Amino acid sequence: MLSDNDIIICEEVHKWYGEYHALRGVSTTVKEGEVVVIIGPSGSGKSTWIRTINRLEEHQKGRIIVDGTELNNDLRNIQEIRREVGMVFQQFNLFPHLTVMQNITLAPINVRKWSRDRAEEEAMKQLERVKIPEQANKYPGQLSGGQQQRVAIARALAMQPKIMLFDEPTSALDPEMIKEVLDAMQELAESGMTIMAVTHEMGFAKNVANRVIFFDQGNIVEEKPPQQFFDNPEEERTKLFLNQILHH
Amino acid sequence: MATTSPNLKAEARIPLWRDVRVLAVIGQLIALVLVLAGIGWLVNNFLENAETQGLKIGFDFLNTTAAFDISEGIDYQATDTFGRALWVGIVNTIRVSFLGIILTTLLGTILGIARLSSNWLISKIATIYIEIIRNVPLLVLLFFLYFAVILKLPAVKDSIQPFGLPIFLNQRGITLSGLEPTVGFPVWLAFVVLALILVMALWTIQSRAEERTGQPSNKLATAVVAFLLVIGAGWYVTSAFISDQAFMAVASRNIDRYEDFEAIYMLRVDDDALKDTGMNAQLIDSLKTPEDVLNLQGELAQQISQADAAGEDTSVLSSQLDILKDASITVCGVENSVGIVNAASQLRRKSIQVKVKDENSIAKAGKNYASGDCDVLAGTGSELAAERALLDDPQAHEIISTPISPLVVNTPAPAGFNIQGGNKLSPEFAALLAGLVIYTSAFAAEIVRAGILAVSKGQSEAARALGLTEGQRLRLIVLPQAMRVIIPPMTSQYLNLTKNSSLAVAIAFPDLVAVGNTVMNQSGFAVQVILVFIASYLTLSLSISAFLNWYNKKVALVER
Repeated sequence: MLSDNDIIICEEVHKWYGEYHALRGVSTTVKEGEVVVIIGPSGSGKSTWIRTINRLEEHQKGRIIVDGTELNNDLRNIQEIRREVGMVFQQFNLFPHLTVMQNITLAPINVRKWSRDRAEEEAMKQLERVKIPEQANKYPGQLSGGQQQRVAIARALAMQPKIMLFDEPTSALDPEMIKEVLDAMQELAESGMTIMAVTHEMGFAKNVANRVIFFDQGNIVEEKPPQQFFDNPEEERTKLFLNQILHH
Repeated sequence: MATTSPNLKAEARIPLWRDVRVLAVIGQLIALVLVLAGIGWLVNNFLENAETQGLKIGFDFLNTTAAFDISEGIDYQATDTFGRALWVGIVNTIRVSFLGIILTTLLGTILGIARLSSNWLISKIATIYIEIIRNVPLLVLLFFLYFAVILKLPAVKDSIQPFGLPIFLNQRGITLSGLEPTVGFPVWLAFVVLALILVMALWTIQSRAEERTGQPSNKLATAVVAFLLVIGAGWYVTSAFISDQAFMAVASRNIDRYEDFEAIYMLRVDDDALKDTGMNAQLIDSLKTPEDVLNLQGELAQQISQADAAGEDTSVLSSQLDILKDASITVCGVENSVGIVNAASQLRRKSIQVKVKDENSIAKAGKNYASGDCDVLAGTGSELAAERALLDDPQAHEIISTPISPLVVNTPAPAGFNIQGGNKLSPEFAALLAGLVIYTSAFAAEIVRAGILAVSKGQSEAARALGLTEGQRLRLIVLPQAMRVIIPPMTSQYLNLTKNSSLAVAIAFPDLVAVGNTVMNQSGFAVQVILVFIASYLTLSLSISAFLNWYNKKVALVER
């Protein structure tokens, strides 16, 4: 089962919030270049799970191995993994006191120790990739939601990560802005980036994903290529869920 | 349902009483007239009352003699004017407020962060401190600190010395080690400024090179080395060439440095008298250095208190202690001058007991020296040369130049019923400063906590996800954003502290209000003194707000 190009390995990952059992033994592997979309009802633990992959949430049992480094209590391992894993949040989380350019170059300069020139060159490249190079010197407060989310994507990409995590990247956006963010994500997927995305965008899951994971009650219920997933779901819970979101 | 016509009513001009622009101007004018009328009424009222009651008008009284004493502050005598007295009060207010603001910021920040700490004990201690202090009225706190803490400290001779540090706590206040600027200090300060400019220039040049090449250079090390080199060179230059300090002593004694007084001091210890008291000869012989003498004194004092407790006779031990205490080197010089402070602290550093005989002029000090009252006359080289010329046999006395550093450490030391040297904080100042800092820091802590909490969790998560370290996260992301929330309420706390310092009057610290009350009672110019109060506090408050508003503007966020 395990092969050399498995870039994320989760084995029996558990997490508790006090008494509440949030993750109940999640096991799966993600291959390099794979695009995995995670769907599921709210409160199912899907966000918690992807946040354990870069230690924004600590798992209490089981193993997570990212790019050959085990995520444990070793600070150096945590930092190493965070350098290689980019993350995009539902609420963008841009730094409001810094310009777009400063937002993007902050981590390359301070974490990767690049020169400012090199970081700015890389930042412009990423801004062009998400199609907003003209906004470089504005502050986040001056941009629309869609533009802010694209800056957030550029900010994560500027660190040249091997993996990108998306935690409901379009949920806080107006409908007409969702497309521009999804376009950016699609372009990224086509470039061969390893992606794990929690999203409610079924179109994105159908067209872009290599695999769809249905998550419920703290564990993976079913995982399949999108075609099979949407056409022939096996589990009753998956069917019920798909029924509710696809027919209204 | 009202029917409205889509057509505009054809009205060429808006009448004045409906024109919002005209109404706005009229509103302003009415407000201005009311304010002017109010002020005019107050001034007129005052002038009329002043005339009927024979009150005096004008500020001329500021130039008349105050004829009362002020317990502490900048140079002032009872023969100085009311104006000078008020100025002493203002400076005292500024001194306690300035120190208070700095200490409050430090303590408040520490407490605020401590309250957010994940360490249970630390956060609970901070919480309890804040909750208790916030609920005690400041006046009660001041009374408590002054009457129940500081005035209840032991008498001077039993001063508390925490951890053996050169800090003495007693009823007469707190004596701390201090740095005393000497004549060379201003020149050295210029070197420090030069060093800072150099460091900033080097830093900028290196940062630019770093950004251009991407090669990290050791900016901090370069800056520290450059800074130390320049201030070190300045230190040497000012010590060697600027400070003209010296001491005069009898030439035949062969004293070239202060250290040479050790031998003379040891001779002063009266071995024969000690032998007469029945002290062990071996013990007397073992007294080789001033430190031995000091240690023996300590032992004797301990034995005396033990014997006292046991109800035994302590007269022999006491007389032995007195003999040891009698030995000393006497230094003459001008009161609080650099020379005498330097000489006394140099000798004390060698554990030599020093008696200081200070006068208010070098001429008087010189007379004391001439009459043989002292071993050393301390002063500047030129002063001593002049004094030596007056001596009967100038050749018998030698002037030894002792170049001194731009700053000398003024270490306090107990001397009988007093503490000599050091920087003294009066009980009133200590109580007021402590009260203001303890009280205001509880509020400052809550402001800091609120500021940090106001930065959303997402900001920290984004910083962590990008791989920033915890230190970088706090410094680059959280604090810059917390600042804009912290500064406006913190400004209010600084202003509160400054204004609350007027409670000094309750514990008799001579701040502006305390001195002003005396001036009012003595001179009868109540309104004028109140105007001085208002003008002073207004100037202070506006300066503080102006500075912080400027800073706040710098950290403000740019929005759409």
